[in-house]
Amino acid sequence: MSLWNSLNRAGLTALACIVVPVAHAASAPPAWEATFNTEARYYSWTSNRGFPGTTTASAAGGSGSQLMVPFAFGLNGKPNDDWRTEFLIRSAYYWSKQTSAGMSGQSDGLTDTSLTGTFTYYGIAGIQPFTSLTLNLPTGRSNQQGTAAFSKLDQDVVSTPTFGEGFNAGPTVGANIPIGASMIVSASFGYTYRGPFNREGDVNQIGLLPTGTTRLDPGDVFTANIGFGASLGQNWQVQGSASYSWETTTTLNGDDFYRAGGRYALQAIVTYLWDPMWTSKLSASFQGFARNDVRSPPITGIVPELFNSNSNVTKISFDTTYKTAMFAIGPSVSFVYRDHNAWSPTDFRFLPAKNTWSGGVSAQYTPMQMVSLNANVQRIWLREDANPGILAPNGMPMVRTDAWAITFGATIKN
Amino acid sequence: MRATLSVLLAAAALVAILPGAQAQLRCPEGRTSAGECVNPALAQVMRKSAIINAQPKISYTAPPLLPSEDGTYLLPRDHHEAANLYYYPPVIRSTTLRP
Repeated sequence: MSLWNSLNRAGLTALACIVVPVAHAASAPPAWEATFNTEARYYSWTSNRGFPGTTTASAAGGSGSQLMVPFAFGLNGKPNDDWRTEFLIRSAYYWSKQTSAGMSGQSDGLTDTSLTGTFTYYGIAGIQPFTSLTLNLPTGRSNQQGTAAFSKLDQDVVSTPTFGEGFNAGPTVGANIPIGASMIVSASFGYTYRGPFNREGDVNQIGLLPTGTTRLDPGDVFTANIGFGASLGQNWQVQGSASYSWETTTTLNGDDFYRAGGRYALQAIVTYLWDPMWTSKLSASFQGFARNDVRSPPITGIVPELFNSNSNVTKISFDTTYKTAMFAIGPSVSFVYRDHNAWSPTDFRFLPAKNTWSGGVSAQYTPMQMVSLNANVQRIWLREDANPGILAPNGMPMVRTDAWAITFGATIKN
Repeated sequence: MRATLSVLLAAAALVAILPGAQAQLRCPEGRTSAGECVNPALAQVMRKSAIINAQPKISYTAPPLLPSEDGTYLLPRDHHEAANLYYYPPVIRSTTLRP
């Protein structure tokens, strides 16, 4: 009897394992959804100063361009009704060039690669806990020697300030807590381990070429986040979040070097559906930072800086989209304001405010359910205030940078 | 015995294929405490936002998003850190930065 029960259970289980995914495929979205997504992002800029604009060599002005091709493959599925699993691998190919007097250089290659796994549990009514782990594998080049070092460009124009860093591991735990069917509060806590890596060494005293390398170990990051999202009626969707981060000490060649001040971030998104074809979205975010701990020789170790050298960042963006069954198109504008911008590497002062306007058009074409193509063209204007306090005797003039950002992308899913 | 097993297997297959009550009540993103199905699109956005917001400095070059999602979820990066740790020429010197 016992053998009979075992055979029965084994047989039913085996059959269910084969049949259930087929049944899902017939009546619901596929049990496993695979997605491949890539974009080709081309940036081109000209400026009255090379980048960074804080060196005497950058006074003659400059220009640059970058091609960034991120690509990712995702696999999402539900092994059973109580669990959802999501996997993602992402990397990018890049080519980057700056042509500025005394600061010209280019580089190309693969950036770092990230692996992410997310697991969500649905077995409890009223709370859906999840956990996620992201690994950053250092497949990119963090140490650009020779003139290649000048190919790093302004992250307010391009998407990344670097092409590689060290090994990262970022576990997150959290939960969605539905207040109603279309009203959710979320909470999460993340830790980001950031491993050491080599980067360019000190600036040569004669020119600007790097000499040697330095070993940089960025501080690890802890972040607590809470969010709220709701669909209100047929037309409104609102979303908001607040987070706070704090860091451990960054070391340089094994010595304490820097510790970022606590950071808080606020974000709100409001979406309005005018009708089935027209949608508008307004987004706003603010990030504030407390004072950093820095070296201040002859004091050993790091101490709180005398005044806050960080830049608070405000971003506002707005877009409207007209959508039909196969096409979507619409304009977008955004504004980023940094209330003070960055440290001068030569005079130990912070630089003035910087604002970035951008405007453009996005379009999407979906010729079939499995495939969608997208394009985006943006014109970008960056203005950094004049700073009479550095680069004596005349000070640093206003930095005017104009740029284009053009993106083509494709998504394929089963 | 073999015939009985076959009948049971066939019945199990039929139950699995037919859209029974359990399949009708399945909620792709779980339930509220009152038993309602949670809005799946909203739940996915909230989960992804919660994860991205909890990892503000993970992987500058390959954040854990599809490339097409960068504009939706990513906040502007820390400019101070970019200038100090990543740009070239580096702020980092043997004498280093100070107020």
